[in-house]
Amino acid sequence: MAAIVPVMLADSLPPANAVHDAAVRGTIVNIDRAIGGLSPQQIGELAHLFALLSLAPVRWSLARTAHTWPDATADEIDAFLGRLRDSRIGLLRAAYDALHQLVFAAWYGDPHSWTAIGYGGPPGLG
Amino acid sequence: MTNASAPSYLDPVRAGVANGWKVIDASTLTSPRTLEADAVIVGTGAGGGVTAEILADAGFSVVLIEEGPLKSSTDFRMREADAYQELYQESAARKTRDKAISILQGRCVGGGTTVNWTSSFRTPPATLVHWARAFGIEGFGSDDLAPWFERMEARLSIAPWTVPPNANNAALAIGTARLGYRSATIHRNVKGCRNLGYCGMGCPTNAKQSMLLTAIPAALDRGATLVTRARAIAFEWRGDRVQALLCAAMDAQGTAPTTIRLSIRARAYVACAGAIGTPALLLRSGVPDPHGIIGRRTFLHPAVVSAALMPEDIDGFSGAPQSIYSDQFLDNARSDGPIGFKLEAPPIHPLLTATTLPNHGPLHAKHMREFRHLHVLIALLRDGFHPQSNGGIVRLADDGTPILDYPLNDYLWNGVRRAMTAMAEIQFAAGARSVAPVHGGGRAFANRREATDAIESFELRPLATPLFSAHVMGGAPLGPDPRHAAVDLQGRYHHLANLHVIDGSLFPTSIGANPQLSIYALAAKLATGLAAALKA
Repeated sequence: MAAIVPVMLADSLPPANAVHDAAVRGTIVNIDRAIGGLSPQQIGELAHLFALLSLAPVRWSLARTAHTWPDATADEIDAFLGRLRDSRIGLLRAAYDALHQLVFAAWYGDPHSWTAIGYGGPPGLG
Repeated sequence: MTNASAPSYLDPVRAGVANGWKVIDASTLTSPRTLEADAVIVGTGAGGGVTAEILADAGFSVVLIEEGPLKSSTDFRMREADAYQELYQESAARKTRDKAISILQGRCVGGGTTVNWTSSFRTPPATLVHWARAFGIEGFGSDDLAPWFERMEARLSIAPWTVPPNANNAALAIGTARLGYRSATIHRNVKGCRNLGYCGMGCPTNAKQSMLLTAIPAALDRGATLVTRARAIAFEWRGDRVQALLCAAMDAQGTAPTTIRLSIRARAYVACAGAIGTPALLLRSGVPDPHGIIGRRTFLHPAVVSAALMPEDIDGFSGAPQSIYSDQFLDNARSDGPIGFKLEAPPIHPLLTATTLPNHGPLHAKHMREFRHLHVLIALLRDGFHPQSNGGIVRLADDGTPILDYPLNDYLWNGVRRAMTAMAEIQFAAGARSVAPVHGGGRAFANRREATDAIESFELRPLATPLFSAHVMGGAPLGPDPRHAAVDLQGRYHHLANLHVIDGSLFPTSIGANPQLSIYALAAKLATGLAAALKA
């Protein structure tokens, strides 16, 4: 996830500096929290999916990288995500969908993301 | 959280609990419980709420079972990240088996009515005519149901929305008008609405006249018992009668069942768990189903999305989320022709928008940076009318939880393509700078010709073209003939004398409109009949 988050959120996160790194860490914390709120059935499916993406043959064929995820370059990961998204195989498109949902929900559910998109947050009730 | 920003609004639900409503949070139980009542109702949404009020009003003791938590205005903080996890099935990430359709479904006291966008339509006459013709359902025509619609409209303050629509809805009115298409104002179940736009996260000002604020408090005032965070596992039955309802207390987080059991004995058992929950409960119970009807023909109004950028600020997060609709492509839809669709506008909040827009990286970020200019339309496909539209099938996973298998076929994709084209045309007519149908890489098009040509060539397929549903219907259909229907025209299960179904799973097709008022009216009619039967 630490490898995928900055690529998926490229241009959404603040520019690379300490704020950027904090946003990535915050997003990962939010993802963990969201996963903690899922049903046992959903967690089982996610575990299955992450196991699939960690398999060396999947990395070779989709990411075209021999690196393990933490060592893959941003370009390699972006290409990998694109191949998941456009795959002929429904299961791999579902994997892209799951990553997409987790990452974008985690970042855009977080008030830190709102200023950049011009959203002022919920209105006051006073 | 401190209460520094706490609203000045009274919370009638918390007040009711403080004043002695009988509410049991099953997740706090440490030993098994047995309850008895005249009627036990599984589910507290549109069906269960109305049924509870009518039975309690008639003097019957009622137990309500709800898998989700009791949350109310004090808890409703207009934060997507919290609301989706607390108030929706599977953290608002419920999906069909192949993940092609995302399903937004409430799971809290009040069910969908706590989190819906308040759109209230009477069942379209064409739908009721079809039910009579195709399924022999007599006594459910527009005239037959009119008194029940009137009753529920009065009860829930349902009226046309007289405040000007927000810009997201206004653009639908403008775009359709410029093309010579029809549009109209939506009726909403609100009282003193402040036009905030956060209905989907629970109404923080108690304006939405949901079950949480109307029927359920009325039932609790009359002594009903509400059990929250309890999952109905199965009806225990023998011969032609249900003997008990077995429930499992959920854990503190509300996501997994514990080993603590509750058993409820009643004269009448009413399944109101919604159109995935009710069929799943019936399947887990192994009730007689000689014709294999339970769970089949489950409908979703699969919805396709079109995102445009307007020159002006749209701010679709603000204002009543739905106030304009167009039935231009529904009114003339025939049950033997291409699928019809209803056009509406959704609320545009950051999390829901970001997870809906396709692709990732710079392209996604570019769209999100234009968040305030985003204009979004949805087209709800009216499934279940044509022989090639049979909806999905609810099945059980190994752990007994439901899985909806909803195959997508060319008949449906044809509707998706026509809907994308219609929405793009309307958005350009309303002045859009660009339109990006939600599909594939999320490419945006600069004019109508470019968009319609591209849509024509889209390779539509599951997950490349994300579909959404906020309306789950069918799976335990109403009808006189046990070979084709699960329950009779009184809402009684065809094969068990004291088991009833009163919720959206009764519908033999989709509704062709947001279903809450259809469920309210049917529930009022059937629950009134049940009350009379229990008195006899």
